[in-house]
Amino acid sequence: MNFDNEVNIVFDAKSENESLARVVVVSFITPLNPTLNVVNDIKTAVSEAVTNAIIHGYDGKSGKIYMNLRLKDDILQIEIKDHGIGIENIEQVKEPLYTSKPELERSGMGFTVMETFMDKLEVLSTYKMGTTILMTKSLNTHSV
Amino acid sequence: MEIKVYNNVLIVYLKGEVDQHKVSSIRNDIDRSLVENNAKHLIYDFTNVGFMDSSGIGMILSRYKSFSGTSNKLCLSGVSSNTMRLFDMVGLKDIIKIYNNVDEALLNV
Repeated sequence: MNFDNEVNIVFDAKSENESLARVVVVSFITPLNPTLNVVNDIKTAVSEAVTNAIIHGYDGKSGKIYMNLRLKDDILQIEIKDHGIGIENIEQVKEPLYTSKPELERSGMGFTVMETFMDKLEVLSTYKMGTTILMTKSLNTHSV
Repeated sequence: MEIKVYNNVLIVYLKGEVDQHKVSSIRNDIDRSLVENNAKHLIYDFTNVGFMDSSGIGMILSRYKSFSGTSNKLCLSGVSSNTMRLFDMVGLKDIIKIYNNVDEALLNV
């Protein structure tokens, strides 16, 4: 598929880069003039996915996070990929309040937030190989 | 973040963006201040918070759980509409009192 615009960035799995990922996605969609609520939903979903990659995928160890942003008309596709430990049971981690890291005061709501704030969420993961989060959202900027 | 103590109430003035990076650096400061000041109650003020993800929810719920079963109170103030949507979504509004500002929260703890 030909996209109207596409950005790829790779960054270290460090928590200080969570804000960088949010800034990049906001800059990417701003030209389409989405509403503040839509911007905030997308920022929050990206923050959740990147945080998961850092603290669960790589478990705080070094690694790279790959973020791909694509726009076609007013549909935003976000792919956030890590080469970390992966997820053994995807359905379990998607359950509200489930967390494997209670000691880090994780709420276990990350996937629920992503599912709620985005139109579509797909989780592709292979244990010990890594995880890819695919999210889609209509920016609703082309509606009459 | 700025922490102030008023009588036996610890007031945490959160600032900027509350994500995992920020939470990991401030949660120990909050716990230490609670002990050092012998504070009974805790107010998280969100007036100057521009963004928050579920890391902030975890930070709030962790202390809410440690307060449960005691007479100590935890409440929130100054929550923006965006952050309120997150609180609403996870059901936080049903279990924790949210006030318009710190003064109003202080009257109720």
